[in-house]
Amino acid sequence: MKRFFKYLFIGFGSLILLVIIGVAIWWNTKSDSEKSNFFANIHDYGTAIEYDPENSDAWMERSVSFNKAGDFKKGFEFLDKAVELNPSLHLGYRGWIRLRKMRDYDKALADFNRLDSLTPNFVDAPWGEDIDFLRGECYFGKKNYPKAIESFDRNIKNQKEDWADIQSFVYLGLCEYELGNYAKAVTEFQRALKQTENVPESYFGMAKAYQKLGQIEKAKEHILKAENNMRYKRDDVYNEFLNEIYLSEILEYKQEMHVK
Amino acid sequence: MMKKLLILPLLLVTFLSFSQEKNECDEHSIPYWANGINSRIEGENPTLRKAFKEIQLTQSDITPSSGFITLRLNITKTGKLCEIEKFQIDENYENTEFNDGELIKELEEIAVGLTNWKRDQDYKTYNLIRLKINKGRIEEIF
Repeated sequence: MKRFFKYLFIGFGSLILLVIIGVAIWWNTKSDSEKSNFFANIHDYGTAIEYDPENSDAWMERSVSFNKAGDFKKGFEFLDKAVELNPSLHLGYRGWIRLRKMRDYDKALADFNRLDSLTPNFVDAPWGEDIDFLRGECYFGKKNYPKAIESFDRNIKNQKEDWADIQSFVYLGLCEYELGNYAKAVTEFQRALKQTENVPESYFGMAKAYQKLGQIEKAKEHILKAENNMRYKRDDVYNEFLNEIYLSEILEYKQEMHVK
Repeated sequence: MMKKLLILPLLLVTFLSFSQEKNECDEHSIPYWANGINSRIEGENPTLRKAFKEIQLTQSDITPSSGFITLRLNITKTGKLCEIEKFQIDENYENTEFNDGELIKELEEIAVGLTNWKRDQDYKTYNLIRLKINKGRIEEIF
């Protein structure tokens, strides 16, 4: 029995030793760049950067948690490095962070414009969103409504009317409203509703536009529609959108309009 | 003798567990986006904007005149506010102190008064209040 365990121990010991030697040999055949990618894949970005300081993805990924947690000084130290190493890959994300998390519209626009210049004849989609939609949001944030309209129109043209983000039409309506073109604003909000009937942002915008046009009954009708469709509102746990609406605002508006 | 030896550590552990006051602020803070926490204040961002409205209207000559402030509020699973972490950066994202550090004190005072933090899951988490400073004023609160 003792012998059996002795051989068993030697057998297992040898097997483990072989595995360790095999892994060590395999690891040593890998380049620093491959090792860096390995650590980046297991989210150890610090080690990934130690192996390959040129790994722009690792720098970018390292910035994410800092920016999400509001430490932009630290986050941008890493993100700027990623952009420096590979501008066409990371400018879009940096612009997106500047727009959505900081509302630094000028710098976001600068990033989007630079990215666009690096990728001629290609419609970029930073973080999955059309670049012209994002540029439109930047101009909207800057209250430059004519430029915002120009960008949202270009986005709709790029995406085609039936495929464009319905919020493009909502923004167009909001821009026209801000410019005092209330009838045009209603038309733009209706374009969103052609895609789907559940756009509370459109109904809310229409209520305000109809009020300005003196069509109070229509304003009341649309504010109720906005309230009934609030479960479909544009929402994101990470960020507040520039055109985000809230139930409390609708209820306040209803009170102003004496709507029950 | 053996029994006594076993009882002693048991008594010690029991004593220690009662003597250590459990502080929910000491718990690990899980990011607001994780585990379906979805933490927010009741009334969401309009509530924040109302709370900071007065300071937004009264402060018109902030120096440096552009930059960003983030308040990171750590909230326990029962909605109790623990510490507030503060980040102040200028327009080039370099550390700064608006109004020589006076503005952040006033903002912190307002933030401490905010109650009714809600969440979908009972974890200690943090919420961000972001303020954008432009042309010497608080331009946006979100």
